[in-house]
Amino acid sequence: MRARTFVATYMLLLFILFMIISLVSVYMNHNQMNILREQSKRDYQRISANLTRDISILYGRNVGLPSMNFSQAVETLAHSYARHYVEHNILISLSEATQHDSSFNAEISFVQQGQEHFIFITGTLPEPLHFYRLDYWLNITESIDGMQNIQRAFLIFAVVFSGIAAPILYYILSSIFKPLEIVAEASKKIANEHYHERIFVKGELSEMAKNFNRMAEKIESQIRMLEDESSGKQRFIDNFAHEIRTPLTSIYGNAEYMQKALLDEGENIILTQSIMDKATHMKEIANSLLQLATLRNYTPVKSKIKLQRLFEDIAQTLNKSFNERDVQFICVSNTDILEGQEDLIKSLLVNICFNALKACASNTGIVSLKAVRENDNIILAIEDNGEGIPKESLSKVTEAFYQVDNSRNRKSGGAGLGLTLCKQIADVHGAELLIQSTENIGTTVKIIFTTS
Amino acid sequence: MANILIVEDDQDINDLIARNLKLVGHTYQQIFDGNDAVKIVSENNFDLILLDIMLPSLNGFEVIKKIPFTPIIFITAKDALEHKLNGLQLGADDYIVKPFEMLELLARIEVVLRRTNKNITTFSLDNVVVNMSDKTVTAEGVSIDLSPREFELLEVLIRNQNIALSRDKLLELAWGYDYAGETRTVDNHIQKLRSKLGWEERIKTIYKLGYRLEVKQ
Repeated sequence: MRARTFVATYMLLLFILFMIISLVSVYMNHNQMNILREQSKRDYQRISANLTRDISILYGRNVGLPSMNFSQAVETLAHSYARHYVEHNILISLSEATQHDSSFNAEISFVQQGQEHFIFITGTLPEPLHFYRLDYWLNITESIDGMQNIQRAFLIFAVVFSGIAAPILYYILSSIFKPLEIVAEASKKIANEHYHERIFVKGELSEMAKNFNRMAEKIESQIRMLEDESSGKQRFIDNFAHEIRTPLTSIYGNAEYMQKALLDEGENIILTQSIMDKATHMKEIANSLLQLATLRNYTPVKSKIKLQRLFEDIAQTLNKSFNERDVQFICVSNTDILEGQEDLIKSLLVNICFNALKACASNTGIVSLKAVRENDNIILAIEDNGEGIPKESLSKVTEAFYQVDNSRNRKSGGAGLGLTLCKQIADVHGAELLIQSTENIGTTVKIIFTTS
Repeated sequence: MANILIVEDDQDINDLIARNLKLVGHTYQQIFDGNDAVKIVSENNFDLILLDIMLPSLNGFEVIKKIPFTPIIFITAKDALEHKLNGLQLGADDYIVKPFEMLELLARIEVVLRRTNKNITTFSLDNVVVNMSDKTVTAEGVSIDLSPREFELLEVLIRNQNIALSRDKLLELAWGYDYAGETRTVDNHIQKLRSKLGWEERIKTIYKLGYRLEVKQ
């Protein structure tokens, strides 16, 4: 890229340089020739006029002289003229005009003889001396040589200039191309999945570098997001397979056992019960998944929910479970009114309260459900003093099938879809589900409803 | 008869395995978490451990590192190859993927026990004694002549006692996968075994299924 640009630019530069040089020399040449031509024309006219006058005087003075003498006198006169003008690089010859010559009237032409160049003018003298022909040769070899010298100097200058221009041009192009090369290098790295690549360029191209970096950042974050999404999906599939396989193993095993084994008395009741429990569990998973799928593009049917009444309702639902576990449940409502679909909001709160209950120890456990108003936003907060969520799990707890205890201890029940559903419910209400937790101290879940 | 430790955190599956082991005459202990497994192995002697990989407190891979001598079969829901390699490299004797069939699990247990010489070699029922290493059968001290195929069939029935086996399954287990015989062959051999051993009431015909050697009282 750089080499090609260099060659093209250099060629263009040379072309323009030589073009200018040749145009200038052609112009100078032409100009010089015009000057010479004008000068020689004037010379010729002056000489012709002087000669005519002199010959006329001779003629007047020598009327009646034998023509022999007269022509000798004219010849002498012409010679003296020629002698005089030789010093000015001019050759003059006067001869008798032939019939043919009478048609010439100061005809100008360029003549080359050997190494010498001349301007040649020929013509007859004016009337009544038109029987004389005057030839005029101006030696312009020197001027032409001079011009050629100038042209040569131009050429030498051009060659030297081309020589000097090459490295300078190369240097300039290098400095122009350097940022581009940095960009090219960085893009190549990004294309090879090194998404963290950034560039630093000073000068006019720093704006481009900034934009490039912004683009790289965008790509990086998008890729991260896609990766996260796809690994999340993979986890979903893995977990889903596990969630389905475990009860199926049990169902199949128990059924097979019932079919083939010699059963003890009452054993068939235990086995069928286990099969039914597992089937119920799978049905719950199916229902939750279906609910998740439905909620994905769901628009809640909102009504005005009186928080006080909602909280009372929830307390009533949960009372028995909390009493059984001997965990205290505190409900602090206010008179605010929340816009939302009541059954979904209730299921969201009940679900989170249940999670809080499960995290709490008997006797000492306290779970509180509060409604707070902050900057026009209604915040529902569920706080417990339970075992908390490990830091590394915090971002994943809303993922489907995710369970903090990865041994999936069935004793706690559930398939790990509850919080996923909660998140989905919050999402369709445009609310934010915020989970803060410290291990062994407790967990606070906030659902922030923005009024906008 | 072997003493087997079951380490599996899912109560139902643990119970299921236990029931099956009991059926064919093994004794067992049920454990639901990794640390408990390590503890009980240091205090008791087991012929085989059935070990789940995903366990609370200590996973199967960690448990196996702490139990160097007892034969182990991994039980796992993850059928990824890496798990298999990991398990076998760490010294597990075999590996079985959930969901598994009862007979498959028992067969694998049998293979491992045979390799470690912990499998049942003699079996007696109603005055009939079957010696599986010598391949001899006696009834009240009198030797009974069985054809090699009949003995094979008898051994399959004993190893899967109390479990109904289909005729096809019996063909597969006693005659081998590539045997192209008819299921009637099985019926004939069962008849012969019943009369030779006097086990008309022991080898029961199970309706629409096959046969079962019933040992329980």
